[in-house]
Formats: sequence, C-alpha cells, structure tokens
Amino acid sequence: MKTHTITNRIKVWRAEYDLTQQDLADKVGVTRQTINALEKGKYIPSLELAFKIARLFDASIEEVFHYPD
Amino acid sequence: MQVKAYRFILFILILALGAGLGYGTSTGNYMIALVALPAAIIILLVLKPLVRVVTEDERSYRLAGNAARWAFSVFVVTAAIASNVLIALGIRGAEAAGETPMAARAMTIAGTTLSLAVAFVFFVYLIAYIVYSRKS
Repeated sequence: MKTHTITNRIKVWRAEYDLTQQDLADKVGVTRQTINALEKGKYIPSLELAFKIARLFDASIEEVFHYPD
Repeated sequence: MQVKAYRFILFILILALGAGLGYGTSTGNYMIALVALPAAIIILLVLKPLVRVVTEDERSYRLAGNAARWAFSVFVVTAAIASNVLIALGIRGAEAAGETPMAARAMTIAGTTLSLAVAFVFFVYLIAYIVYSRKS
C-alpha cells in the first residue's frame, strides 16, 4: 500500500497567533515534545488532536493538515 | 509542582529503588524489596496529580505501545531460543554424565522456567489483546 506523508502548517498558524510550542501544547493538552514532533512531521496526530488544533486556530482541518492526493 | 521537580524526584526514586532492591537481594532481605516497590508506586501516585503540566499524552502512549511491542517480540524470541538451548544442554549434560549432575539439572530447570515465562507472557498478551479489542 502506498503511503503518503501528512504535512501540516502548525508552525505558521502558531506564529500567526503568536504562540510558543509550550502555549499551544498547554491549550490542546499535550506535551511540548508532541508539538515539536508534529511540526517536524515526525508524528501524525490522532483525529481528536487534529480537531483540537484546528479549532484553536479557528480553521478547518484541511487548512492546518494536508494529505496529498 | 513543576515538571522538572517531578522528574528530579522520579530520578531519585528510581535510584533509591534500584539501590534498595539491589541491597535487599544481595543481603537476602526480601522485605526491603517487598516494601520499597509498593512505597515507590504510592509516592508516584501521590505526586503525579500535583504536577501542573501535561507529562504524558497520546504520543507518549503510542511510543509506549510501540516500545512494549518491540520489547515483547525481543523477549519472546530470545527467551524461547535460550530456553531450548538450556533444556538441550541440560539433557546432553545428563546423558554425558550418565546421571543428572547439578549443573545439568539447573540448566533444565532454568530452561523450563524460561519457557513457562514465555508461555505466561503470551497468555497475558492474549488476554490484554482481547480486552483492548472489545474496548475499541
């Protein structure tokens, strides 16, 4: 099965909202390491966490996470 | 409590537990081990709610799951091979000596214990798998 890498724009959104990794981590209830791993593309979040992050930025999931065609 | 303080206490606790278990085992005082382990668990259970920041999340659970699966595979394969080797050496030792000498008997017991441990771990894994399958 061909796998795709899910990319995200968390770092961009975080900068727009002037949040540190720790701030974002505290707001969505994860560790700072998890936010760092997400931004580096090393970790793919659960659907719940993806929704939490997207809602925090008042955006849709597709605006934060990108799954290539 | 800050996460750094919690980690420091955790580090000290692990060191103390290791030293206590080591001392207890080496001196044959198993009461130390029997008391130290539950005491450490209770201290951790009391301290954890006092930590203000998130210490574990879905990523740490996933990492723990992967690490556990890997450790399980390594242990089962290694222990299965080691138990077979020990039992075979024990039997050969008994055959060579004409009767069962102490070393051969010890090897057979160790091999049998190890193979039973593998079977037990498999059993626990199976039970855990069934329980988690029903939950999700």
